[in-house]
Amino acid sequence: MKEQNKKFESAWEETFENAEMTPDAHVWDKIELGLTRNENSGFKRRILFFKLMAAASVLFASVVGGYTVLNTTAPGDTKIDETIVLNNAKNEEEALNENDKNDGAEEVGMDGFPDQKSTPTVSQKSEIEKGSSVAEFDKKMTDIFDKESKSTDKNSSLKTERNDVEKTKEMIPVFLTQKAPERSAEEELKTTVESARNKVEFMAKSGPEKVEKLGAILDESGALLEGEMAYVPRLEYLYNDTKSYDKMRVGIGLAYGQNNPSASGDQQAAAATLGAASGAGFQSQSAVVSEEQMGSVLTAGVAVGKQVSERWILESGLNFIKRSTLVESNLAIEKSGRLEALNNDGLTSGGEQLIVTNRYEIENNYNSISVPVQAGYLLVDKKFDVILKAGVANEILLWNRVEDTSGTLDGATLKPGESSQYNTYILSGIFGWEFSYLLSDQYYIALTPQLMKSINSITKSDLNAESRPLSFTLGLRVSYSF
Amino acid sequence: MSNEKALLEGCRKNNPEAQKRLYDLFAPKMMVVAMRYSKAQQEAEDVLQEAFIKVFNQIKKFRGESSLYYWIKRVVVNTALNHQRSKLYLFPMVDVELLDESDQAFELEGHDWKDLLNMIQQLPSGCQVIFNLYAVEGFSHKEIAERLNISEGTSKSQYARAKNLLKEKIISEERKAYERAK
Repeated sequence: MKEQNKKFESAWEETFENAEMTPDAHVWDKIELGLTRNENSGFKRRILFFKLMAAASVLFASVVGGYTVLNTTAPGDTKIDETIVLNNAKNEEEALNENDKNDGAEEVGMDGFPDQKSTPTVSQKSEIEKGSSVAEFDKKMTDIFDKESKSTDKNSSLKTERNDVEKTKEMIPVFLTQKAPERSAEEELKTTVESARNKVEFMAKSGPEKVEKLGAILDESGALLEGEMAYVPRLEYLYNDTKSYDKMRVGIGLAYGQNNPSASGDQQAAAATLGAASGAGFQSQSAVVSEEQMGSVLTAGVAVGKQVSERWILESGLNFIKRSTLVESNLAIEKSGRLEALNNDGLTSGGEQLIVTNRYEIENNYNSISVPVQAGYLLVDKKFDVILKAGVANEILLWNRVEDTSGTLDGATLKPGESSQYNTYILSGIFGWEFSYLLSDQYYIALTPQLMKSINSITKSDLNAESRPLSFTLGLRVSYSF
Repeated sequence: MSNEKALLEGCRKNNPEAQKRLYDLFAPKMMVVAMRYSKAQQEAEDVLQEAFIKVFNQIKKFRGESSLYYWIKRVVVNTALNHQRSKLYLFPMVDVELLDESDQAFELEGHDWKDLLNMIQQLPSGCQVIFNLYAVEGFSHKEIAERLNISEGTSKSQYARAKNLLKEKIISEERKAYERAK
């Protein structure tokens, strides 16, 4: 029995070993067309790749440029002239002298401005400068008292001498305070700078001193004279375009790009299911439905954003999105004597029939409104802003339009709902950049490259195919800030 | 063989002339392979078209470990199976009762391959696929079961059913021929 079976199987194998059958000529034409299409889609993929590379290059340049701008505080080196320092030192010295006068007055018990009478006379100064100490003046006073007590004659000259000595003694502290010590030019410079409450020491050098960071030497709260401010301007003030928080920005924008359907699943099985719905007699084995190919995406809408902190922005808006994909099929719907492009809704009522026809290209357009919600981080906040954004978009499908690109078959407009093969609600993740430029006080113009990827499938789960489109768009936006 | 090598090189470089020559060389035999897995000529041509597109797109991956003919044949069979998948989904294969095998001996000699092809095409879809894979391509039931995601028992029973149906068909044709000759 086994031998018989083996013989049976070998016989079949031998029968078909040399069998040949020439296929129809149009088969090769279709193969050629298919090969050309594949080359084009490969080309389109390469174009998309280069577009993404261009966006990545712009991104990289922005990051590098933004980092450089943020870490650069002054163009080139800034030098402070020694002359200016010395002049300042002179000003400081004069100011100090004024202060010293006041301090001297306080020490001798007088408040306010110094009194003429408390200034030692020339003779008093010469007495004190002789090096006489307080103790010596006390001894002089004692001698004079002794002489006065021994003398029977109340000599007024002794009394006068005593008064002089007493007054001179009183002037000692005043003289010592008012006397400015002799200092060299270098010591003068040092003392002046120190007394101006500056932390940086200026050394007397032959050449001007290099300054690394202006902000470090010019203390905002330091007691600097107005004259000095005029000589060494604060460069930070030149970049005084920091924005205050709590600003709103409203803009309108337009974007265009490519839509990759990222479809998976068995289209042929889907066609068989469709054929089964069509009824008995439909030859599902000859049905052809190709995979969805890349198409285009167009968005238009408004965006509203608010800066909630120094670097963070919250943004939302309303967009209209039109996505398209391309499908090749040989199925059409016969409806009231007319042929309509293949669509699921076409077989909802009686009288429609699915038929096999010549292959044609179907453009599938999904039209939806989207409410994006995203957070943005200000990488560069100057006249030229760079914002990194990420978030989600809530899309509601409005209608779906199916058209024959050759125009031979009728198109069909399908509303969302239970009978539609598409989900009404689609959640997508968004990631993008905004490169904006301040045109005037409140108007911005921006370039907005963006990637959007659907998180849930746009086709319903009871079908054999899933589709989570990936779109890349490049947009232009004009905004108003208030 | 050197001719085949030259063709391969040309196809790898996407040379249209080389591609056409390769197609002309192998298409007639592959058409029969596609017909064995299909119900009608148009379906077989669709399978052939799709298979050759795959061949030209993936020819760079062909390492030359087997002959080009068998490699292309494998692509055609796989493509045909993918096309059949929808039918297999709608009409899943299950174990069938093993019919009593006919004791009558019969030969395939004297039957044109076109007649035998016609008989195969008339088999139920599941039986047709398994009969082709086992009897003509030479796969084992285990390999078929793994390939089609069915049990080995289902593969065996479906094949047995196909064989019985074919045998009955052949015997019936021979009887008719005998009656006509009388």
